Amino acid sequence: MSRDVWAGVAATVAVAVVVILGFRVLGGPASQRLVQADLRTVRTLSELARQINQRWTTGGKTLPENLDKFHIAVKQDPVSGRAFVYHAKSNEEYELCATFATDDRDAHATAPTDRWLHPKGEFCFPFQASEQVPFVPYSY
Amino acid sequence: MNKAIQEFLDAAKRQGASDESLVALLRGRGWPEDDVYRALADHFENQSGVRVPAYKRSGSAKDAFLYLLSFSMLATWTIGLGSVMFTLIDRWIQDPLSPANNYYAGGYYQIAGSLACIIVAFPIYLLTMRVILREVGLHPEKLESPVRKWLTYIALLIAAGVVVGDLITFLTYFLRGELTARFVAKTSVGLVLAGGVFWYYLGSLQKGAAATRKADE
Repeated sequence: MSRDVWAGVAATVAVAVVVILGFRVLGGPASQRLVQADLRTVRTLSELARQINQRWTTGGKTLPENLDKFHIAVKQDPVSGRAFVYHAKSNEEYELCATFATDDRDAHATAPTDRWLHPKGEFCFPFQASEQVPFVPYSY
Repeated sequence: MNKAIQEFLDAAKRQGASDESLVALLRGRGWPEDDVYRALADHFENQSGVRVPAYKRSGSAKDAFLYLLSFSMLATWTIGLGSVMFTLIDRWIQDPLSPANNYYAGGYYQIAGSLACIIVAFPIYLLTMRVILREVGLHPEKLESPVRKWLTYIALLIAAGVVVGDLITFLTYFLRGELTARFVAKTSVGLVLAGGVFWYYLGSLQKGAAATRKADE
């Protein structure tokens, strides 16, 4: 019987350690919700950038002055409702800024080529209207 | 009819006929085997005044339920445990070549799913094991039950298959150029998990064998 107890204790300790390690990476449901919200923000931003690029291609290679002509669904953060900030830098270059709840540069340091990594707080992504909008990861 | 066979048995036994010859005789006249033995049992009950003890079903359906439940829970939480560890290893030992990084860089999806597997399955596993161990403690003959042996060996077979599959996958990644540290870490996690399961279950099968040997002596 003591062998069974010993095995049970060993298994429980191993499970407890792994669960704690797992939750330290994952965080609680509230912080995961923020991660998901940021991903949603990034996805909406990429859609907006795609539409801006399309307008640039079809509309005489000039960037719009503001976002007035774009649909409300792509102009603002879908979770917080805060409007995205748009800066035209030149004929071809522009920036889109949004506010993020999490910093995913550390969590995704394994993918340094990911163009959508962002710090916590307000952050601006640079875009080239002549280039394709970078691919957004499906999920984290 | 029952009465007639009882009277015949009583008379024949008084004449000194052996049980074997009576069985053969009645079978020869077309009596079904069950009826013959029931009649013999009735005969001895009448003679001795003691009832034949009732046979209690060995509860193999219940055993099958408990073992299948415990093994499926074992599979669920060990796979969850391994999966959390593999994702953590991927995070700790970073390899820019790894193809999974582009889409699931953080591994949040896998970790959340695997943690849920562990959190649900592990307590159920402990509970079923407690019930099984208590049953075995009350009825040590259950250590030899075929249901237990078959299901345990089948579970070990599945475990061996999973481990072999894992090792092949890890070796494939390694041969494709994955970092040695990752390969070693994942392989050791897989071996420790499988080793623990094999150590425990092979040991409890041997415990069953030892218990019957002791009972035979």
